[in-house]
Amino acid sequence: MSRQFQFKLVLLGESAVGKSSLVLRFVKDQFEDYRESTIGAAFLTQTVTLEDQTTVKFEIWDTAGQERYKSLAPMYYRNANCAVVVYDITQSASLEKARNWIRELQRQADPSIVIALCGNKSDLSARRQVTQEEAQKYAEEEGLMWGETSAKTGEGVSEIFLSIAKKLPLTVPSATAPRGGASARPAGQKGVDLNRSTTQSQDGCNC
Amino acid sequence: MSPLPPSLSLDSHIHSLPLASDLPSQFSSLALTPRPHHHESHPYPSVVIDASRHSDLSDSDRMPSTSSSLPTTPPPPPLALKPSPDIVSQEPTDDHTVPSPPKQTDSRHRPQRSIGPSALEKVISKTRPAHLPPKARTEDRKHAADWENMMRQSRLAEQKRQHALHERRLAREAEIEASSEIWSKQILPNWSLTLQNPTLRKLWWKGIPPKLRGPLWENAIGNALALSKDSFRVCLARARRSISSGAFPTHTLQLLEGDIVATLPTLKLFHPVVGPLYSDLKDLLLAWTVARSDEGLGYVVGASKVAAMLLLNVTSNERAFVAMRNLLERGCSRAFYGGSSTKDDVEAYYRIFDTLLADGMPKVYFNFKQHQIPPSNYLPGWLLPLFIDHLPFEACARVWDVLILEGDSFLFRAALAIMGVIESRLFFPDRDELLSVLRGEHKAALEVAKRSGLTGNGKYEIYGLNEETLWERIDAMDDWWKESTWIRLTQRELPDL
Repeated sequence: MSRQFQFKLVLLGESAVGKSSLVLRFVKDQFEDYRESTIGAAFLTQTVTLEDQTTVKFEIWDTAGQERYKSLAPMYYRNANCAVVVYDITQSASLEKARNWIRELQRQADPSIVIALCGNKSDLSARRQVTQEEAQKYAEEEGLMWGETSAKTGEGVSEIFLSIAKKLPLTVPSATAPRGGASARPAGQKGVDLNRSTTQSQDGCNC
Repeated sequence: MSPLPPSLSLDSHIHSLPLASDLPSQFSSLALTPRPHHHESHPYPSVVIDASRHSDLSDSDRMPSTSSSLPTTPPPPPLALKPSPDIVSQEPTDDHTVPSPPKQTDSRHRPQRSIGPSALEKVISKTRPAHLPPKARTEDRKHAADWENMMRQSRLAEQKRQHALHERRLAREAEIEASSEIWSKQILPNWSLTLQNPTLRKLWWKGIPPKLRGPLWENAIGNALALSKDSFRVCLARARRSISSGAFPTHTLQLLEGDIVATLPTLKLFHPVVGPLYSDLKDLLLAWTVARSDEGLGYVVGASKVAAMLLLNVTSNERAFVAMRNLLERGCSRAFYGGSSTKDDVEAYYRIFDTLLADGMPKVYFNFKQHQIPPSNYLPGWLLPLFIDHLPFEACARVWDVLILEGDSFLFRAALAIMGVIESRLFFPDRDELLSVLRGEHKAALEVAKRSGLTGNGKYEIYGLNEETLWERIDAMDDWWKESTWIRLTQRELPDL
């Protein structure tokens, strides 16, 4: 019997690094050259199937990179199982921003959160400002997953999500997946129960 | 009143005649009454038009005293016949007279313009008021360049202003971040100390670090109703039972659903189909409605926004429920959410606001009085959802920080500060226009906002209202705002509370 898990995944990073494009490629295998910047947030789901027939359903919270919703950030990563922090390899400032996000996640989010650092726009490597070595070294120091992707060509996109799925704790379905799991939810309400682990987040909170 | 440029009055005068039939009499009176002098000097407007070429003399002879008092000038024909665009620029407010005349001028002039540019076009200046003699080309060019320069500087100044605002914001955020330690070590474990400790209270006024908002809000709201943790589950179960048995009023359900749709729509978090927090919000509202039904109270539009703000910050639905019930039972909110039983209290709050407005912004107060805009026209829209509809999200969260700590007095202070930020837009001598400003739907401002890429984050964002401008205003009220005045006012208007 195949097992199903559901996880909340939050995308963070500076605006215009390609968070929404990355999700669009992953969920719909599409790419738009000119995409309007995300307002507030967008919510999508995508399921990946692992080799052992385990399916992992990602509830993706694609957040706006703009500063104007800064105070929503804690709510976005509250109870998130995994976070993809995206930077743009052609903008070294965006890696700096990614470091800030990672620092915040490590301090504030659930300690068991899986964090992946993702260098997007690898198709533009001619204009590269962030070397692979630099990013990889940083990721290793912080114990993060790391990969480069191109939402435009699709390179590396499914790989990074797949490796996140593999790294998530897939042992205790009832404890890890949100209450009820995906199948138990009424159609049309693809929600993540933010309050699933109230007690857990209290214990785990550093503050 | 200084005499208007002769050419202007001439033109309006000319056009007023052919149009007299299809324009209200108000039009011709507008053009004619202020300057009977012109009327007399040009009894036959058609002659004046033709004069552009042929009868320079007669026209200059007829020039009114204003222009004849000018130094000896080149022949003034261009003065009499002035192209219409400048009229527009000179009389921008006069909606009735401006739009149609230019067409008339064109159609009536064109047939006569057969041989090259007229004398007028040779000397016409875009930077010169038409009633003054033409200026030299070089001067004209210089003025055009000056104008460009001024515009550029104004754009630069605007950029600088934005930059300064941004810097201030970053500095403030850094400050909040730096104070995190104090928040989590001193204030959170023993929050009630902040009420006695002026330093901590001051820190609270500067804004709570976003991640600590939930617990601190809960603490400051308290639980005067002594609700148990289970109360949410009990109320929600009752709501679900009554919905499935058909006893839940459909009208209430519709109100509630409609309110959810209008709740922070740009965030998409509460969207009925894709919003991940939709069902949480709906549950919370159903439970709240059921809990209040015991007191004979129904759903009140606006509650969804309060619930949403709490859900975004408080970590569990149960606790958000307790916070919401208690928050809306406090002072002013209790009155506004209390239905018909608290109508008198609501009236009293209107009077209090009016008194404060009259004291703090007498001109706005007077203009509102003149155009019959009492607080009942705008105050419920602000106070029921505790400003969530009208303020940009960040500014609103910050207002809530203090609102929850200080209660009604800050509610009113913030409302006055909002009024202060949009004050310059509240002097329109027109009721509909004023109301559209207050609704956050003023057309001109919306257009400007659209061009600068603002995206509906709070209705008053289009008026330049943001965290910085609002708090500038709130802080500026420090000297004027007296808690003692507030207490006296409430005791006078609401002796029972």
